[in-house]
Amino acid sequence: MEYVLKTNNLCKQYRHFKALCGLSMHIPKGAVYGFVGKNGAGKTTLIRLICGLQYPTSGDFELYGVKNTDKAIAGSRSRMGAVVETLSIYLDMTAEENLKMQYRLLGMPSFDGIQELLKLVGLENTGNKKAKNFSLGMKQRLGIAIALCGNPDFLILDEPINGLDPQGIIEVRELILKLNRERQITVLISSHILDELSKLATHYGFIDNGRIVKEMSAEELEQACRKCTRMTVTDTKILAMVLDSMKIEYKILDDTTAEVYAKPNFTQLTLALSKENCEVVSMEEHNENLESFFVNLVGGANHE
Amino acid sequence: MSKLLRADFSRLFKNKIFWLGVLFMAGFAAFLLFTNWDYIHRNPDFLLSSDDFVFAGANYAGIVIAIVIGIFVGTDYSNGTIRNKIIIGHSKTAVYLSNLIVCSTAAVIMHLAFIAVIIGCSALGIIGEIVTPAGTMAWVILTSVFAISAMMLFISMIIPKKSAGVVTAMVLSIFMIVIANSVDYRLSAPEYIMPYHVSFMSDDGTEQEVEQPTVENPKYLSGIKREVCQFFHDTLPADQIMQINNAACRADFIPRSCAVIAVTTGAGILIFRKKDLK
Repeated sequence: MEYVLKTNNLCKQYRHFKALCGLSMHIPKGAVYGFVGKNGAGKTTLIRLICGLQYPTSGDFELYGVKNTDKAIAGSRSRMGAVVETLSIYLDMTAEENLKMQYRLLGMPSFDGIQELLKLVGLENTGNKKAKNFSLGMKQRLGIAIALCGNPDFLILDEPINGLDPQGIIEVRELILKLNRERQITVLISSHILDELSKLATHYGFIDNGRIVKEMSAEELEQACRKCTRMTVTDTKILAMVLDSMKIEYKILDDTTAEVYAKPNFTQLTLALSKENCEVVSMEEHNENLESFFVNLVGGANHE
Repeated sequence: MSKLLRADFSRLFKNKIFWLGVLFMAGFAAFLLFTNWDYIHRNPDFLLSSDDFVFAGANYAGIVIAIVIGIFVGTDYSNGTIRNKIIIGHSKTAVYLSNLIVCSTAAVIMHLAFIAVIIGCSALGIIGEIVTPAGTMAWVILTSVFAISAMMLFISMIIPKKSAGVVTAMVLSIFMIVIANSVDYRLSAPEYIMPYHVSFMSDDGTEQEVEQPTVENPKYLSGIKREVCQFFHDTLPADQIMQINNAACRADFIPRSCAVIAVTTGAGILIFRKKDLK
């Protein structure tokens, strides 16, 4: 698999606080990589390191196969756009002026494409309105437009939907999906709003205490999180035999508990179990989502 | 770095604070001439040299430069736009050097606005011509203004908070003028208090005179203290301008200003490169 970004044992220490300790992650090309972690887990620190705003204490990373210690990293960074934490826009300039400024910084030969970018993020009608008078959603979209100057292949978005109203969240989500699907831009997106993230991400990286706890694809997560009925019976061996005969997928957890996927006819199932002298003690629907998966993964309340 | 320069110059020339600084310096030159108008008219035979005004402007330019640079660089920090430069691959050294060139140019343009008014009045015969050789004076002022800019940029680049950076740079520029005055006063103090006569009326009603002996001046700086003070007085930009105001323009100020630029820029780049940007 081709990776846009690979980190290897990255560590970052601020005086006595270790923000990252041996973080290793892999972002495949073309992915929307959801970066999940609670406050202070190290998400923004990692993004700052990748963007070159800070230097790692130890460890390294590769961006498009170029190591961060290599001088050619500047070339790799020019293929990247990022919105880190707070927005990076000139508040006393219009949306168009902000984009022109970024074009100059990139050394673009002309300002062609600025109108297209403004249209892409829905800011084509802002005219002479200064960015300081924009709504938070408009500022966020302008930030993304600036990150898109120079047609990057890799976009880093740190909490892009924080503070947005529902309409703003939908707009930003659709924009990210559009960029990924139509322009094949690889996106690294960190967010606390896990439900929203689950609508976007094709891959996930779960971070806790400066370490990646788990990396998985959306399919793998779906497998892990899919709906099931958790059954407690007197003998799971009999349950397994009956479920096999009914061609129903299941997972045995212990001698008395099993998870049954899909939705079987429970009357038939209990009758079949009764014939085999197996009693059904309890049945409950188990519906794990990204949020509960994350809480289970990082230990929930113990980690808060 | 040419990309950074292109972007930064474009931002400078659209910056209202910069143009206000230019207007202020031109207005300040007119104000200085206006306040001396009475003296100029009462003494038509004695033309004030333009040099007096040119160097007086350099004295106050530091404060205006501090404000303009503080706001220009501070805005990049407070808006977070300095990050855009690094993210797309510009090195921190290039960002610092680009700011140095742009801010120094801004400072020179503001000072030129001041000088343009003085030279204009000189051409109209309102004040006298410039006495100091133009070449030497231009280089001394240029390097001195560059040195002030480098010092103000150093402050603005290591203090990321815009308001704190502007205030610190302003306080530093005022402090440098105060220190320059104080050091100039101490260095120009005579080594000895010369003999003088004291007259008084004696008891019998006659006037008597007593000669006081020559004594050492307790305020006179000597030895290593004098050497250190003289070194800084010849090197720091505000001190150089103070000396130029009082005497003649010295060519050895140029390499000293270049040294100030090199030291502050070197230290600034080192600190900025190690700085964790947020």
